[in-house]
Amino acid sequence: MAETLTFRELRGERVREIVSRSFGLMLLLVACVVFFSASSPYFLTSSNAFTLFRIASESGLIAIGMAVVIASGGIDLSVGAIFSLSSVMVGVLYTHGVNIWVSVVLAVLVGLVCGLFNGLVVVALRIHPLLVTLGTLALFRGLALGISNGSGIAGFPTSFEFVGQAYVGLVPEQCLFWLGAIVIAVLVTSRTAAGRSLVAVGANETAARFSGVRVPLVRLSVYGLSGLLSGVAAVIYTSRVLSSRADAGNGLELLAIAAVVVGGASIQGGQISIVRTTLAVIAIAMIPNGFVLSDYSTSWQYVAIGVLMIVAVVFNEGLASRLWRLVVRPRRGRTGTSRN
Amino acid sequence: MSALATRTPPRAEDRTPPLLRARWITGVDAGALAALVVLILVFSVTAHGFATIDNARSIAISIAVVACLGLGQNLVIMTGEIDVSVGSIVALAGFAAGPVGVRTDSLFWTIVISLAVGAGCGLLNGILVAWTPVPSIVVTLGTLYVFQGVALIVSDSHNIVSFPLHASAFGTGFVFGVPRALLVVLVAFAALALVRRHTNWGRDLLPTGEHRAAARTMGVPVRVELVGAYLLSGLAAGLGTVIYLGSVGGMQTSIVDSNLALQVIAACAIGGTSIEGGRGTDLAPLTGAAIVGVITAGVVIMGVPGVWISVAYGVCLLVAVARDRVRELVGARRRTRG
Repeated sequence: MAETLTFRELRGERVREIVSRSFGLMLLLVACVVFFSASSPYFLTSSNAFTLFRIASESGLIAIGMAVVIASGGIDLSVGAIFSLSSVMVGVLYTHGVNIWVSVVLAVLVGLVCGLFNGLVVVALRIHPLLVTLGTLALFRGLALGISNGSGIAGFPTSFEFVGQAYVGLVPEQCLFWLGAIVIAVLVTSRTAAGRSLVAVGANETAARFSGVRVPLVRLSVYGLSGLLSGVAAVIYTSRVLSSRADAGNGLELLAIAAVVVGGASIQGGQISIVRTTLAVIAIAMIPNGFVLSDYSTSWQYVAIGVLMIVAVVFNEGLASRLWRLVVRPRRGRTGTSRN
Repeated sequence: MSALATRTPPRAEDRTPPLLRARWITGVDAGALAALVVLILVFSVTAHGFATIDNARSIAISIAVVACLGLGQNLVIMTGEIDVSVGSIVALAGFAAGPVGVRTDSLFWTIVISLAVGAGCGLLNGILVAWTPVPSIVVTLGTLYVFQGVALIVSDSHNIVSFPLHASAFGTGFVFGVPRALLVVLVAFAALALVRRHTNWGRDLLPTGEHRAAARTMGVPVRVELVGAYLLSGLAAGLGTVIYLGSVGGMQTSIVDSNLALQVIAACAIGGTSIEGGRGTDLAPLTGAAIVGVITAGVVIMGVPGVWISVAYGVCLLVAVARDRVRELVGARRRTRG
């Protein structure tokens, strides 16, 4: 853009950007709600909504971490493995006589340490985060398998059910954790210097460094946060199913990445929206839920997730902004600005 | 060219010793090959029963599928893209070709159907990557789910068991003592290496990954490069499926959860192909897969319980991808000292 924009035009640009980047997501949400409500009378009920949120809160927590990592220009493939390692840690520590709540805290800390390890390797050796977290995926899952000796652990005390099975009124416990994480994440990303530095690092690392952003610290903390949230999600999962398994969370990393990009963030970094990521998690969680309730073959749900995901991202990445330009004519005959 | 250009100092590669300057060697990542040799020597000494023909054969068979998929994935990574859907392509091709193989016991029809499915999936990936603004990791993540779903629908939740003898020919048996699976992979490797070296399409892959805009300006048909790379990745997955069906003797529906694509990407990276594109060798997936296979077998023979193998694998991958950076750091220190 060569010419200077007035404040009003700048705001218009911003609105257009947000609307066009969330168009695919809105389309997906509306399509899912309408289609499943039409095909099953049980879909649009409050009890099903809470069931959905209950299941989605684990991937929702992880997707928040993934959104932050992707915003910083990185990626974290190891979240599913950290999830399984933390889950196993709860079980192993408890069966070795540690108090259940101490085990829970230690398991969450294990998640944090795993995340910090990712961040440390990324920062210190400057290796592509895709490869680092691919390696730690195998490493952490291997540790989970080795420590648990490949078998599931059950027999938790009933007090532990509080985390993942209790309800506060109508609301499942874990949704409160999720909501808390969302509120904190939204405030931090939109209202604090830390949030601005995060986006700055993802948008242009060199510029961020020259602006005084401590890039290594940002990178280290995003992976730490991602690991921490995976640990929290793992505790909730372990309490919900009342067993620790080393194969828990298989493929979770891919679902989290899918949620972030369907939420309109660029995979190259520099953009973040916790709210849209959360809506995308809910939309993606609706698909298996709706398929089960509508009594369709569950195999089709993968096809639906894949197709809807690609379509949503095609809309997010330009088709919607092209349509927007057709509907809302730019003033002063300005030709369309290039996409990002 | 101006006179100035002729006076530029010789490039770093030109300082390599004459023996290493031969074309077929410069196309090889010496570090990865050296690591492979060292690993084999170490395990031969420390692990009793490692240095046997039988063990070498079983390693070759165990890595054949990943190596075969890696041949295609390597091309995709060279162009700076990625294909995380190959695991699902194997599942889809397997559940499409498997029942035919079981019914007819014909290697020919197994190969034809498997390759056709692989080519179709690869073509779809390539077209989506080349013609939509969606990044390749997102496209192939989407098609991963699509292919996985279709594979489960096609399979109708039935595993493929007792795959018959003739149709298994690519996965079982030996020719002059060499596992046939390995020979299939080597033939595919040789064919791809020739294509990469002797066609415009093959030679333009690395520039496409190095600097997309510059390549386009120089007249490289970037979309053709991309579609070709994904098509070959799909075909390699189809061929890998034939090997898989033969060597495993069937296919389980749980293959969709097996992280196969990540293993394949890891093999390419360990072998020395840069994940950012623009730098890589044809041999990388084979070396990478061999390193993984040797470590896995060696660790098992040394008596480490199977559940810990994944840890060894993860450490190996981290060390392998860290080596460039470490070499850089060491080199920098040496330069400042000298």
